[in-house]
Amino acid sequence: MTKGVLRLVLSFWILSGVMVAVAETKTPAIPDVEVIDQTGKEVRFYTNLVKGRTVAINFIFTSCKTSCSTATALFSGVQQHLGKRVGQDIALISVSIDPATDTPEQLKHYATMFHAGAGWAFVRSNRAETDQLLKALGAYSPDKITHTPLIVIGNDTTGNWTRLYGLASVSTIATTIRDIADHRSMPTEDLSPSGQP
Amino acid sequence: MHVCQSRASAFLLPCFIVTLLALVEWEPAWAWIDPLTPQERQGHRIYHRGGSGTGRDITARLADSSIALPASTIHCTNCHGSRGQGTDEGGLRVPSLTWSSLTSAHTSALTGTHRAPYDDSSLARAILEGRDASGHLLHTGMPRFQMSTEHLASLIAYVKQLGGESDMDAGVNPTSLALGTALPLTGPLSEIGQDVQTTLHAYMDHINQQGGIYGRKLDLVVEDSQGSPQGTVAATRRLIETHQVFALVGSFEPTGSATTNQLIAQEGIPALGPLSISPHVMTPPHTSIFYVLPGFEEQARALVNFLVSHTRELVAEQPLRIGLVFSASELDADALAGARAQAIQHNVQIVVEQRGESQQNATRTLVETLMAHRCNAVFYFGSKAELHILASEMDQKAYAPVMLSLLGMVDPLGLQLPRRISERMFFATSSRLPSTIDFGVLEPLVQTGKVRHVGFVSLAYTAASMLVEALKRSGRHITRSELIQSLEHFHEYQTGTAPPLTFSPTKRVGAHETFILGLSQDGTQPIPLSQQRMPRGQP
Repeated sequence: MTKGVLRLVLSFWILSGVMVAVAETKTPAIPDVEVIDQTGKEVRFYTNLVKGRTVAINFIFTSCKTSCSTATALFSGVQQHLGKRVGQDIALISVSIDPATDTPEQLKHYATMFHAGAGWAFVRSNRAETDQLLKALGAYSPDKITHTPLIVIGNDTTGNWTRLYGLASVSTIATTIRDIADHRSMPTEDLSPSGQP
Repeated sequence: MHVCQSRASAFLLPCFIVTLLALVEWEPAWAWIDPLTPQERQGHRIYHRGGSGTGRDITARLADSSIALPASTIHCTNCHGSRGQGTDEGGLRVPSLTWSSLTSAHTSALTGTHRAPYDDSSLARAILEGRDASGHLLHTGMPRFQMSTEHLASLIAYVKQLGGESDMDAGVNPTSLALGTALPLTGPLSEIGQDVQTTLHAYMDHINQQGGIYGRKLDLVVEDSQGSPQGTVAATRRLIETHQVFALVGSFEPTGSATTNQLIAQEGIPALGPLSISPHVMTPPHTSIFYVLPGFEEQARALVNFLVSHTRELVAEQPLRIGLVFSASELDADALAGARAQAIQHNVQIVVEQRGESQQNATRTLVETLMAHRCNAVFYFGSKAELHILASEMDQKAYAPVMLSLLGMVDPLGLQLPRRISERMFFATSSRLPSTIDFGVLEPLVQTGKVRHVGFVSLAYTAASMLVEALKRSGRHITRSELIQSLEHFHEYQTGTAPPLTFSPTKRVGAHETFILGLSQDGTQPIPLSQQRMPRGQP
């Protein structure tokens, strides 16, 4: 497995002055931290949510007064676009970057506002493990307010991972997820399983 | 109403009952004048809250998605900012919406795309269809909104004022701040309402005499709620819709105020220190409602903690075997839930759970059940009258388990419990003991007896003190959301009238102290526990 920084920035889309970048990345070593989802269930992030699936992960906090709600609304649209596949081979995961505030009840309320169905988990961990997770996924920001809108998309079986920066359109996100899930994206030699602690 | 009254009176402690003197006459309030027109005010609400707050009238849809979300979940402020300043957050460039920037032509430095100046109709198209003034598709993050022509016109009218001098939240103008409170000025709880009114007016007069807050006078509007849930909804609606108050302070919250709280939450009105006997906090809590003291659930948990930590002194025959006797009200359900949850935490067995009875015969059967299950501690969550019957039946059978209840629920004044029971009875309360309350500038009001419902007066004082502190922390340009954020940053804030208050984005009850009280020798007055007063073991 290639270790190191992002390999290649493949393309840029200029959309109304906002940049959405897609980058093919190495397989992130996803820590198998314990998280609690919006139903209060304790699960392992890698084992129960990522392993064997294609996942799209975004990063939110429920008291966010800026673009988190748009990012979450985009996932609502993606969920609708992908239909039944969400909950089968595809999972959507919204990771709380403010675990102290985002209780499971808070996450459930937020999930309901955006019509989250089966296969879309809102999760939180403790502060230390959240930071560990965010760093592993390349989504860490010391200040939650200025965090970058980012979606990490990956297929755990093929080891194909990619990232969308900024707020991509629903169809761009959905197409990227489908391509990654259906192995249509760039072939890669990174076929080793996700690194486990 | 009677239940409400008897429970309310538990806040009264006898040493503070003095003659009610004539109420102070207050100068008529100066009316708040809105710097925005009614149309702009409606637009303000749409911009900042995504509509009327019901979440139904205006919807937002993202490009490529047919899912219509209530605009309250993605409204203009989220991305464009509360003053229309736009953001550059995380590489996402959101344009400014001030009228001067919208009506200027713009060329993107990044793409070179030219955008013509907006006018009313092109701005309407941007909001509805997501196209700019030159017909280019707007960014995918900009929702396409569906709203009525009237709402659209209001929104555009407001955008012309956005970030300007007259762009202030309802209730605010350069010289005054309108605040509201719904109180029982008539009806069986009117004495409480009058006392609270006197307290709030006196506190605000004191602040106004010092020049107000950042040059604004505090203008309190009082509406009569009659102390009933329906009256409270109506009074609160008048405060919000007719008087357009900026925030509510120390409103009386009778049991069953869910509708009022929904109304407050929908409109995002900060409600500071509602006077509640037991706040029923939602999960997650309504973001704009800030309570001072914890409710019956937390108090019941404290009772269980007390029992467990004093088992050796209180109960001769181990282990603990708990009986729960309760009635069917919403408040009792909160207490019951707290006791059950905490018993599980401590791994203590609840062996009987039974509804309290008002008939003597049925109560006798209840007591026999408790005895048959060898309950050595009984939690009682119900009415004063039923407790009296229960205690008499227990006394007749020489059965004296440890009895635990809540002061806000069962007022022991005049209860005359048999000695056998009263000696082993404990109450939890979250109200401070009157001797430890410091009324600061309002001390003369209490000392001279101009107010006498000291429990409620101290809560009202706390609410007013929280308000003034949060206003000071928020600065001259005050908005409701900034006031809420300031309150969320309270850490161990001292008012003198309540335990230190701490809030956070998810925490809406400020204090978490609970006191355990025993009964005086004659069984009529709650008194603090001391080593001497700790009761004897199981007889």
